[in-house]
This record gives sequence, C-alpha cells and structure tokens, in this order.
Amino acid sequence: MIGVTRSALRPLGALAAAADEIAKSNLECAIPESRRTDEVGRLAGAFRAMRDALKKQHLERRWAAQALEHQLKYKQLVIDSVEELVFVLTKSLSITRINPAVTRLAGHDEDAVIRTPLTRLLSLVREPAEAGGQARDDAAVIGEVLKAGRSLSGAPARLKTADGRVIGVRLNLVPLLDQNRVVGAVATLRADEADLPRDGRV
Amino acid sequence: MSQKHILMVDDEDAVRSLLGEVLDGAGYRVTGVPSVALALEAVRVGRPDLIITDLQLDEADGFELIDAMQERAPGVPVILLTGVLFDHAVIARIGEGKIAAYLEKTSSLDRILDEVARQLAKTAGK
Repeated sequence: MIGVTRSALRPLGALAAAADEIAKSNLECAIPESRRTDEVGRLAGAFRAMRDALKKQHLERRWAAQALEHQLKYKQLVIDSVEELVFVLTKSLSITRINPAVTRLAGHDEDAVIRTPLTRLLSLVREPAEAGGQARDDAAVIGEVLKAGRSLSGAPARLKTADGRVIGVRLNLVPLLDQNRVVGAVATLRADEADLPRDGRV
Repeated sequence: MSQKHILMVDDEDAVRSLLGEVLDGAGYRVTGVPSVALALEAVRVGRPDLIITDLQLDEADGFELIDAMQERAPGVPVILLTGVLFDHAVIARIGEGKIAAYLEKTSSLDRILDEVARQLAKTAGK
C-alpha cells in the first residue's frame, strides 16, 4: 500500500523540482513525460505548457531589448555624426543633451553645460533697434518662438566657447512636439565665419 | 517532411544567436553567418529554402547580397530585416521584385515566425 502510494506520488516530486527550477529562471528544465491521463498527467502537461509559454515570453523580451538597443545605438550614432553643434533643450531652454561636435568645436563638456540655459552660452545678433528698443532678452525672444510652436532658421548668433572665445554661428531652433504640445526644442548651430565678431569676447 | 533550411545573414552576434535559437526551436535548420562572403559560401555548399538578411552588413549592404543571391540561388525567397537607418517606403520601392518581404527589426518574434512560415509555404506550393 505504502509502495503504491510512493510510486503514485513520485511524479509530483519531479514536478515540484521542475517548479523550483522554473522559479530560479531555469526555463530549460526537464519536465517528466507522463502517459498518465489522470490529474497528475494533466498537471505535467500544464507545467510543460507554462514553461514553454514563459520561454517564449523570455525570448520575446530578449528580442525586444536587443531591437531597442540597436535602435538607440543607431539613433545616437546619427546625432553624434552631425557636424553641426546640437543642443537638446527643455521648454525653458535648459540644455539636456549635446552632441560631440559641441565639445569638439566649442570645448564645452557635457557635464559642464547640462542644465545650463542655452542663452548663457549663446546670444542672438539682433538689429540695434530691435535689441535696444524692445529691451527683451534672448530667452524671452526664443521662448516666444517656441511657445508658438514656430522655428528659427539661420538666425545669426554668437556662441561663447569654453575658453572664452566667441564664434559667429547660425542658429536653427526647432520645437520638439509631442502630440502637438511643445515639450522642448533642438537647437543646431553652424559656425559662420562671416559672422565672427572682430572684437573678440562677449 | 524534410527540415527547411534557413540562411540568416546578420553582422550582429546577438541577432544571429537569438533569432537562430528561435528558428531552431521552431523546427528549422538554421545557418547563421555574419557577412556576404560567408553567405555566398553557404549557398555554394547548399541551397537554402529561405534567406533572412539584415540590410546593414559589414562589407556590403543587403541589396548587394540579394543581387548576388538572385544569380546563385534564384527563386529562394528573401526576407529583409531592417534597422533604423532606412526609410521603409524607399526599401519597398528598391526591393520590389527582389525581396519576398521586409520586416523591421522591432517586429515581434511571433511576427517574424509567421512571415517565415508564410514564405516557406509559398515556395512549397511551387
């Protein structure tokens, strides 16, 4: 009687061991085959189906993760390869990201400029009447453009480099729109030799 | 029924390894190679039933591989797996008549397996 009971329960022990392996993320664990058609046999079948479903989910997750990594890597590569200086900005014009050209051409390290307002590094070149008459600072001018969801294209500006020099640049500023809401902006600067000021420093 | 042979060309180890595991698990025989040269060598050794290739390969792009395959293994369907550097509308235009299907690399494995099965079923009927 005891021998029969032990023999009947042996598959349950094997299933419990398999469940322990699955709990340890071992999805290659063997689940005993059973020809039994009773509850124990059905339980083994259900375990196998559960392990296979988990395996499939696990593979899908790994695939999605590598696809995401691939996408991010190439999108980053595209930004990093842009010759223009690229600044990603918040709505209030704080710098959140730069591309390597900013460091290469203007000497600004990422750590030093992240969270800095762009207008601390960059000033617009405006007509004297406009600059003086309206007495609005650059942040207000650019802020208004952004708030309206508009862009600036080729606006003359001066960029202060990390060592205090000034470079004449052309500024393109494009709002980042998420479902028609302005969530930030991308500023790209192209060095413009013709606009380099003669007197040097800002 | 004999096991279908899939030639997979991708220069990323992670993609070859993972997709290979999945296709193998689905019952296909898979040859994974990282380059056009090795793909051509694999076709010389044995004609595959299906080719899955990336578009960005180390020494040549996937279109060059497809052109070469059309000469060396005509009639073998090619599924193009594309990454982020290509415009899909452009790929569809350029690949017309040359590729059986193209999928983004962000497609789910289920979607890829469905497309593989669909293409193999089409060739089985020929």
